[in-house]
Amino acid sequence: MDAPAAPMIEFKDVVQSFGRKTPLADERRVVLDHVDLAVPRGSILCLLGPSGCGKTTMVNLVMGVTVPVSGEVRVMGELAPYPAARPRIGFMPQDEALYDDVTAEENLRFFGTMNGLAGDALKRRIDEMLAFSRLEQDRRKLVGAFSGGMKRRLSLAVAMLHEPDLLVLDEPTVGLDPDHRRRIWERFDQLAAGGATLLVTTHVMDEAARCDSIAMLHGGRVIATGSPAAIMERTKTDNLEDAFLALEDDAEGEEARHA
Amino acid sequence: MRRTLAVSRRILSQFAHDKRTLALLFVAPIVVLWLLSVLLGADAYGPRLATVNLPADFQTALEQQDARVSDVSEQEAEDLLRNNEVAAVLRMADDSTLEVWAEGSDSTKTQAAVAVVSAALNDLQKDASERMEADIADKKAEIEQAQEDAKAAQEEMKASIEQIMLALPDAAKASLPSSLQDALDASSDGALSVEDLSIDPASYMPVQDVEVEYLHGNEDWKMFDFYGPVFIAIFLFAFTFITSGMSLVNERSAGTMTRFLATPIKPAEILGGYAIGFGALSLVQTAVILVVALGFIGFPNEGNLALVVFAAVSMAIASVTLGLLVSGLASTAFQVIQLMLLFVVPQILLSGLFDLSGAPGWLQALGQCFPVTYGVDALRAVMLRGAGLADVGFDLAMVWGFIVLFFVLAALGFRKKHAKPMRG
Repeated sequence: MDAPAAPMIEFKDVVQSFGRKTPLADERRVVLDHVDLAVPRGSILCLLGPSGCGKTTMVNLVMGVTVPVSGEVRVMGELAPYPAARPRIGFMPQDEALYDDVTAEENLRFFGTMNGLAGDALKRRIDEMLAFSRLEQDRRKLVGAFSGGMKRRLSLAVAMLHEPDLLVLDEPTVGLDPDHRRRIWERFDQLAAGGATLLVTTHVMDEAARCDSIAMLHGGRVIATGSPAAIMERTKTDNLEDAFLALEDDAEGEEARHA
Repeated sequence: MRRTLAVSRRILSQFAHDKRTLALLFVAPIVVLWLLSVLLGADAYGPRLATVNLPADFQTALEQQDARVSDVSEQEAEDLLRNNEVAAVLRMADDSTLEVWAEGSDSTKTQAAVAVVSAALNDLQKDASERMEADIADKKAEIEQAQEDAKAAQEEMKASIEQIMLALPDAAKASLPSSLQDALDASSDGALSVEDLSIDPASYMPVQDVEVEYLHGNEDWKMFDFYGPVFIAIFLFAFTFITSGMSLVNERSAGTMTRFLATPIKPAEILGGYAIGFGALSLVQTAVILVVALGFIGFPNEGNLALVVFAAVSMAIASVTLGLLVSGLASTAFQVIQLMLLFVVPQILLSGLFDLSGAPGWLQALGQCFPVTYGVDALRAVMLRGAGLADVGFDLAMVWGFIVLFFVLAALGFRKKHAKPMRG
């Protein structure tokens, strides 16, 4: 199924809703409303949108944590649970998702083994990632004693440890110093240049501006896709924030007309 | 397999870093087992009894029992009973009937009081039958003496009659009735035999004394010795259920479960890792508990120690798999405790902690549906009766059957989501 032509990630007419209809009330809530999206290989795609717009829902669909109500999500041409593609995906969830009661090194070793690394290769990658995260001094400390920023860096290290072809990162730079943030984005660019694909969610505009392409989400729908420059040109604005607000107004206007 | 071992290694490492939980895992069972050994190992409970105007013999017999007896007036006795200071008041209902007026709210105390009374009655009976036999022997001696006196008098009379007869002329002799000669001849052996008077108590009371022999254990075994193996089993089961269930709930709430499932790991590998990790932990826990219980507290163990350890660890692994199976129902650590009340406590109640032979049939059948019952059976058989692998093979096979069942069900619950391809 891993045809070279297939995009790394493909959403086809995806609808996702939560809650259920009970005799008392219809509690179904549509979170993704017929989303189509393709992420080409070797690029960084940014999911941009306000809280509650469906970014994390899309990430969970890509990771196979949930499956869509209708439509299809394919990763490297496969459907969840991704029997062949799974070891080639790296995942950084929005919450820390680290074991607080073991050391940083043990966290890396555990998830590395889960993702198929072993022996010297595992040791070498652990050292590399600890160096990249600037956590070498703290490798034998319990993660529970880490600051929020340290946990975030370790969490990213866990996702990148097995050198995956696809990195799915849900708000990777929240709570990080500008210094760390810049270094991490430089690394993202290097990875993409080396052929990796990155799916990054953010609500920070200057981060979105660094991506190859942006998918703007609003109310469960993709209201715009394209490179940051193309989006700004289309909306005749000179920064992404204005572009986003303009697109948001358009989308709300359209909804009002439909209603 | 490498992933499975990595999961168990991570679990053990988590415990190794968590000194407090680790300490509790060993200290708590030991403290409780020691307390139980003191409580249940104490001498049998001696009830307090108040007596009112009992026959002196019975009063003496009562005082020789394992009870605290006080002889008081009718009014005092009633006050003591109403204040729950005595378990029962003993008084005579009429000349020969004893009335036991029990406090009654605590059936253990009532039973103990009744047991004391019947033991005292038993002693009294033994005394009475001994006194009866002595009286009979005295009477027998008197009768024997009287009979011998009578016989001597008879002999004397016979001799004088014979002398008279010798002096009689032959003609007169012939005119005497033949019955007189017969009477003279018979009188020497017509007497009543004393032997007929003897009474054999056995024909009235076929059982007069009790002697206890022990197939297993001895008279020094207390209640605790019977319950010891049960408590070891229950501890391992409850502790492992809580720790494994909580560990899984923590993984869910910390989000590590999502990340964990987003790796290529298979459900059976996760569960296998948990089972091995907690199995290893329980092996250490069992070793510590057994060293303390057998070496210091003084549990009996008649069987093979390796078999005891194997049975205990099997119980713990059954508990892990059950914990993993039902912990999906809990979203907080608090709910794990509530789940334990629902899934573990009934098993403990029906496991053989209480004798179920008098319980309704459905309850006994239900008890056979839980792994704890078989684990407790096996541990008791080995520790108390020195059973070998052949004797407890069925019990252990049942425990492992439950492990497989829980494991398969839990693995189904962990299955990753499968997306359906779009139609058309």
